[in-house]
Amino acid sequence: MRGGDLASRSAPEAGSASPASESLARLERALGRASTTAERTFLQWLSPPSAEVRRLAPVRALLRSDVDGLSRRPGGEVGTIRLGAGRLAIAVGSRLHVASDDESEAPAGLAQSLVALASVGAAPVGAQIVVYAAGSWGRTSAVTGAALRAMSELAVRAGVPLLGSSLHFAPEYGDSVITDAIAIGWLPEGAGIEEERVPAPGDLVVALAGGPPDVPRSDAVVRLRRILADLARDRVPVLALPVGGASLLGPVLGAIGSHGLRLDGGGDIGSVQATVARGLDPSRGLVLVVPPDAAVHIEAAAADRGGRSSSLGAIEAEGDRVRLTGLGGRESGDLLLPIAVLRERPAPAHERPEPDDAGEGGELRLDQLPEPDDYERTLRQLLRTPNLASRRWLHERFDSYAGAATLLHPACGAGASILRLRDGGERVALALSGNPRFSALDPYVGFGIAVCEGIRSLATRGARATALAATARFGRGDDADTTARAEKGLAGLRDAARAFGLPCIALGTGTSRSDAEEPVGFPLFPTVGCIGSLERDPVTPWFKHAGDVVLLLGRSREEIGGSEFAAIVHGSTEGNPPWIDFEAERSLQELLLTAAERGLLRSARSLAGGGLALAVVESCCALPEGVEALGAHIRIDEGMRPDAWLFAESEARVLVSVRRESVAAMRELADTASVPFAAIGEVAAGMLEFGELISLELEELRKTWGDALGEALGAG
Amino acid sequence: MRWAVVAPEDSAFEADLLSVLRSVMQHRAEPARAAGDVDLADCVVLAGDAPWRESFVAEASCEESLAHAVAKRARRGALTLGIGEGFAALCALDLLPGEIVSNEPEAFVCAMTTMRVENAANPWAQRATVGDVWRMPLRTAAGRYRAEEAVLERLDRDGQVFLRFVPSPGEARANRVGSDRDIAGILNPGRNVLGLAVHPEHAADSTLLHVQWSGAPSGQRLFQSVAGWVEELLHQAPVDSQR
Repeated sequence: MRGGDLASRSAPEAGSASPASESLARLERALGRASTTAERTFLQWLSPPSAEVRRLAPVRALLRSDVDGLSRRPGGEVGTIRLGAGRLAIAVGSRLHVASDDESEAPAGLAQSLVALASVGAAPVGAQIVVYAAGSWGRTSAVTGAALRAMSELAVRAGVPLLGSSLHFAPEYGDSVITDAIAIGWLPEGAGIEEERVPAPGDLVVALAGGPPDVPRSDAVVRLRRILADLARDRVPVLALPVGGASLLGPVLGAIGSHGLRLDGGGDIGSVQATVARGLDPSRGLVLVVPPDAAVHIEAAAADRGGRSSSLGAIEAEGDRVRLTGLGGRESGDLLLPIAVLRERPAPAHERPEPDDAGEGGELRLDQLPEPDDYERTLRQLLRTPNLASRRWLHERFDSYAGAATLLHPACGAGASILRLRDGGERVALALSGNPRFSALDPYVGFGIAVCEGIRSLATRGARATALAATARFGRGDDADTTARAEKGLAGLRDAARAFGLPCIALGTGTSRSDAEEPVGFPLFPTVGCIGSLERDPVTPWFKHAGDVVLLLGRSREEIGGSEFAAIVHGSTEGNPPWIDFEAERSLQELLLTAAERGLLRSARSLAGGGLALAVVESCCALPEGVEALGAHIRIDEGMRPDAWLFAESEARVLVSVRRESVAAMRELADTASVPFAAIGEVAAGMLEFGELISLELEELRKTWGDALGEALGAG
Repeated sequence: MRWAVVAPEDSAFEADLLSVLRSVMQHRAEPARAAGDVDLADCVVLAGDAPWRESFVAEASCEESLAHAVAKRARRGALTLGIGEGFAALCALDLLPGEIVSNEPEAFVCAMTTMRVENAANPWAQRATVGDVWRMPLRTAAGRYRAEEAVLERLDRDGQVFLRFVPSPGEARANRVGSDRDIAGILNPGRNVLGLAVHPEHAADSTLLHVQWSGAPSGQRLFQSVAGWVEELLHQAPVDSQR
């Protein structure tokens, strides 16, 4: 499936207009006349198509601020939430660059998330990153490696441990490389720039950068952190606003309430725009709103640490407009733009879409596909695909031990990083999830699944999810189709967050390249970060003892639409994604947490890409060093076709191993929680067997699965 | 036991070392930001990133600088430990021979690794014997020790190799950074200066799972050794003889 197919599959909703034309119509209604070229340029600058996504109803719902203990910066890219003896800060960042670009562009998203952490004064604890690229299908293989290396180097130089890296490969990305980052930080009680400063008329709007553009981003991030720490120490009242990717001045407009904003220009709009953009690289700087007498402190603090500050304008008493001053030539005089135009957008109610019979992605029926004639070969084929291969190669090259406090390192295949925060001693879990293929087939379901998978990853470690952060990237962003699909996806994210009662602490949104001549058709998708807490040692994901019983919790269906099996073995990315059932996920989560609390679980692992077969392989082979690998004997369910049993990717399922004497207790818990329960085999030494269909030596399995990613990325 | 931590200000390197030395080892540890901050330390420990190392070393020519004070003390026999880029800094300041360069062939390595104690007659291995196997993580893009052949010969001959990478059972290669002669840590001739490519501070807290899996927390042994050595000296001689 190529990008164009993705774009054409979902028709625009009847009567919907492009967001850009809606904005223009609102402007002209507010002006009561036709707009001038300068006004249209000004509007487009302040409210680019990517910023329009921020005004969709689900985004507004996700960015609710009336959550106890939650504080969020305008713009939404960073927020904090109370945790124990302090506050946990969470920030998101994202960057799309082209494979032919300088690889130094790759870490911009990570840097952006670290700048956002700095804006609230949080000490970075760590970050997780995901790279989306064509990978081994295209010429971006080397670029992917370079992007990971560049991000790793930025993290090391900025003193921020990478808690886990991941990759997703699909040919649809073409020559685009997307890097998403979610960073967490810690604010001990009373520390940081937590107090929100309410902007007042006369306040200055200042761009603060961690140095000139040629300074490495890592250095810029560190300098920025120090400048803000100096200002906090000296009690200089500042409101620090990370500017994010959607609109450079969007967060400022979000912060000024009913006041107006004056931008001091010179020359024409283009030069003002260029000046602002130069001062506001989101990965190197941010905006400060400060009282006039603080400007001198800002300048001194910036100079002292090698940073740069420049005034952009001021807050005005006369409200609800942006005024651009100092224009010359044909545009002489001030240019006024009503802020309401930038804020208002009809908020269509959007309930969960009912798919038609074939669903959005069309029908993909298992009975129309041939059954594999050699299951061992099929399993090997899947284990070698970069999306399912072991991530150990990645973790060992690009991730860091998280300071002195990594409780469970991602190289152990845990699916989530578990940390102990330095000051508070609290244990925090962070899991990233997101499946672009499901989101392409059905945005609502795909985004919902991303949340469910993240929560399940935490629950398998014994951690309860407490908050979400997400970054979502859409298509071109300037057409109605993209907007409609974005709205569906964000509604899925919103509904999943509501179903689990989780606040969304930080949300970033972006579009594809606007500079591309042809539409860049990669699927819209989210990267969701689930943040949780746990009060005991985490449950680990690998098999522990021969003779332990292997249980499958949750219902298996013949759902292969959007699965890696369908894509790799049958070359199909069509069909319906798996069904999501928030109630079933909630029940499963509670069951896992109770079982973990009672010490019933020897191991636990969420089922996702690759289905049951991959979960079993990972339980056998993803181990910390020095731990003996164990195999398993797993039966084939007679009620399903074997390929669906092994490789379908039904949601709300978990594989656990328990002592034989714990099986009855687990069954009772599952019955009480109405979670389907099946004892499907036992842990054994030496071999992995699935009924009579597959029998593989562990050593071969480990090699096939463990070496594949390095080979795919050309590293051997 | 008093430690002076020389690291980028407010960095994770500084925070990690302070946290382990204070909370796990129950030692006194303070960040060193200026030359005077190392005066009272029993041991100075250096760690950081490449930009920090570059600027730290560049300042050594200034007599008022922290780098100058650290080097001066080390040359007089004070205990000085360099970790990662701190090891590179000690080499650049000529406190240790050779140099630390980019890994070969792996760009960035983050993994627990196995080493053998090669010399136990020094302050850093009071709780170890020759042949003991230690496990600590590598976390670096530049941890490869390189020196001229004559220097390597001398290090071996004079017992200045402190730790050497050795494969653990089933492991094909332990020396993932590509160090000459599998060197993971070296001593100066006086044994008071130690450079380590690995991170003892990340192998000291036995409540962490990756440390538990590694067996005995090797980093703790190293820090205990230093503390034991210092305590013994304090009972034997006036404090000033140490510094």
